[in-house]
Amino acid sequence: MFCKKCGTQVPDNATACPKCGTSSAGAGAQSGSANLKGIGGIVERVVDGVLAKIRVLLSQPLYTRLTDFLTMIGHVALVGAIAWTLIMGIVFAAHDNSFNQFLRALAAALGLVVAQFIAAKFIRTSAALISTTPTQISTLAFPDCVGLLSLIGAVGALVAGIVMAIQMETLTPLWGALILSFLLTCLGWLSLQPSLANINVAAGSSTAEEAIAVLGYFAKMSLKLVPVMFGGGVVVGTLALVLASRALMNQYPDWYTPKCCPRLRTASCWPPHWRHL
Amino acid sequence: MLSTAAYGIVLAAALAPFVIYIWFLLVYLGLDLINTILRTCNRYLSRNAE
Repeated sequence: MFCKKCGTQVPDNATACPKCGTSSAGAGAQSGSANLKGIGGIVERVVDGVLAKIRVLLSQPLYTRLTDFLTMIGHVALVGAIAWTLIMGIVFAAHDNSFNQFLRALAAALGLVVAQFIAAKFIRTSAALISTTPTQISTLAFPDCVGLLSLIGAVGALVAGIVMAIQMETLTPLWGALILSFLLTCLGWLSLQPSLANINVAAGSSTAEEAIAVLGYFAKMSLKLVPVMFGGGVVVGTLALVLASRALMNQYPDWYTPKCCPRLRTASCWPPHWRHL
Repeated sequence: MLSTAAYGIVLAAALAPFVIYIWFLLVYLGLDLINTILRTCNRYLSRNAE
């Protein structure tokens, strides 16, 4: 083998260059990896090629646009959930002739307002924290493997969901599979584009620093997934809230003849009319 | 009951940014602590080696 610093030929069993004294451990490893590449490198090259194509498809600007959209839609859905909670509070208060129902709905809506304020603040703060916390890892091997496994997991979850939905003749398992598949796709996306989470590749860190950087990589992935969890979770929750309220309203057979004050009759009668529209 | 669960999903999703932010800070605090301990040990060992 040859010294990686001065190029002098060094015996294969030597631990350092006899001319400049540079450790030859790296050179040995390099020649070892070259041999490995010759034998089993075809799979590595094929998978690397596939990942490069996926990287083009799942680009950085597209992820930024997706998270911006999810944040926006999450806030819209949250406003919808607040409005729906208030409307349901009025409707049920009118139907049951109980002011407590309305107070409960008002407290729930206020809780959601506070949660929305907190979410807006912390989504922005998280993005700022990522941009001010650079992480340095020595190789892309780890993010590449996590990305590959996540994408395989996303496809697997989707296929399993479809198969289960067909076998059980219900769409219920498909929704869970879709959510899991979407989350895994986003994790894979982030892993294949680590600079989105301010993770840079640079050699020269010690083993301990590398271990800390890899743990930091996981923490950053979760922080970067915040808009996805927020947007997706709020939209799913709001839909569930609307469906649950509708299911609850259908339990009342006397919606068209409310016992409440005639002035509130319009509000009380609104949901069934809306359904017929 | 179903309505309470749905409300819980909305609330949990809305509070997720806050919870994950705190979790991130705690993880980084731990990592920084480990880093400091390692650096201190390294300095102590190299001083003893001299």
